[in-house]
Amino acid sequence: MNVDMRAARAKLATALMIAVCWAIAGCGGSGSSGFDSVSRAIAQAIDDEACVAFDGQTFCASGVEAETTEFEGASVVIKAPDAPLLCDGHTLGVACAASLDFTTEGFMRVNSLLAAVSESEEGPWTLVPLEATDEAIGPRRVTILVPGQLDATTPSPFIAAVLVYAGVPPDVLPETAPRLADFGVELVYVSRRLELVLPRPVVDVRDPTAE
Amino acid sequence: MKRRDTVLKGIKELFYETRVLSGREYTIKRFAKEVLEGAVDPVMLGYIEKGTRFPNEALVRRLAAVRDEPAPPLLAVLYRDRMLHAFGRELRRALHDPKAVEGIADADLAVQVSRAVAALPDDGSWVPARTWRARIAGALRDKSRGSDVTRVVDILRERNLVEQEKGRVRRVARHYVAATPEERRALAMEFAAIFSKALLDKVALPDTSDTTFLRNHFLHIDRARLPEFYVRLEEAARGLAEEFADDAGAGTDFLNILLVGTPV
Repeated sequence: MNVDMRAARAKLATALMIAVCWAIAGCGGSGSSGFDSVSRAIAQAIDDEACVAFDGQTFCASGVEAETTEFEGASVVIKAPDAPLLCDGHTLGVACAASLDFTTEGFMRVNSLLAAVSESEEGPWTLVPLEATDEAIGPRRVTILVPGQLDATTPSPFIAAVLVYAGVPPDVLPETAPRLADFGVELVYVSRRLELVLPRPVVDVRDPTAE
Repeated sequence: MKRRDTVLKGIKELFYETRVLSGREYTIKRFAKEVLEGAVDPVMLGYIEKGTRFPNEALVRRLAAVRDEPAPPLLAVLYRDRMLHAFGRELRRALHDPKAVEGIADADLAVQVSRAVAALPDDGSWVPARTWRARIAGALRDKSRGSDVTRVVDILRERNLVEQEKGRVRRVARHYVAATPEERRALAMEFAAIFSKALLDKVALPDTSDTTFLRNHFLHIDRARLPEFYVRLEEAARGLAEEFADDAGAGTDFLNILLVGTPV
């Protein structure tokens, strides 16, 4: 009986504690709305070569030091060439791919990286393969593969995004998502607007009159 | 004065609820004749309740008398509706939008979205989906339009603002961006409605406007620092909202803070 009483008291105490915590913490919600958009924030980060905060995420241009709590003073430098990337270095099934290199600097906490590409700031964003050197802290050299279409006849525009996670990324992530926020990331480095081209084989047109 | 529902009401709702909620099952014809003493034609009263015509000020004063309320707050609703009607008309022209703009009803979608977001805890804890949907339904001015609840829920799920599983729901983001032309029009009308109400509270109802805050701050600022200023303004407003956010109840108001900053 005493055991039952103690168990009942414990249950009651737990219920009261939950109720009190609920009352103290408050269950209220708040929100905001506007005409701004995440794509505009990404565009601003690229155009102004700055870090732009938007709805809990920070978008930074290559080389700009982040001011987030987790990664203050750290940066990612995306080594984007001035000329379009050539889509012939690798193959990804039926598509081709080009390499885009970047380094990470000033990270003082363990972090993980993923990469995604999109045709424009508007999305959708698709995760792409990424290879990184082993150093968890300190400068790292990273290569991502940017996929291209073998039948493309004109340069394909794209933006590369490096997703920086404190610790490890979420277990389950979509392959493609409308927004970078869907990958559960708070710090994102974005490249300039780049282009991917598929080199055409040189056709040796012979002079038909020549022997 | 009797405290009323905080859902943003237009003058048409005030006429409708006065007739229907009187408990005497008045038809429009009987209400126009017996209660409003023939001050308005029944057909015209029908138009007023549908929002296709505005009442004149004399009729609003008569309605205030029927409700046993002072006339100025009801007149302020009429003035706001007229302003919104004019704003909506010009907005339609500015957006090259052929859709007819009713006025305050066009803000409904944005109002419901903001209510739906605020009905979920800031800390991301789960709440029963049924409870949440009931709170959204509470924000509908037209209670018969249950499909609007589903529409609002779908919008928030598509935008990844909420997450649902096993009959429960939680908030995963707090900022709603109006994306489609309809959403942008609705949000524009909501912003206009908030500003119109605040302005009218201060200039037309100065004695009863203690719940409204309206102030203008001005400064010269280095153009390069403008983005930083806006970021910090947003952080400050968001911090305050999350600190003071309470559970909806009899002792709470749904507070709307409209931030505007623009070089002039």
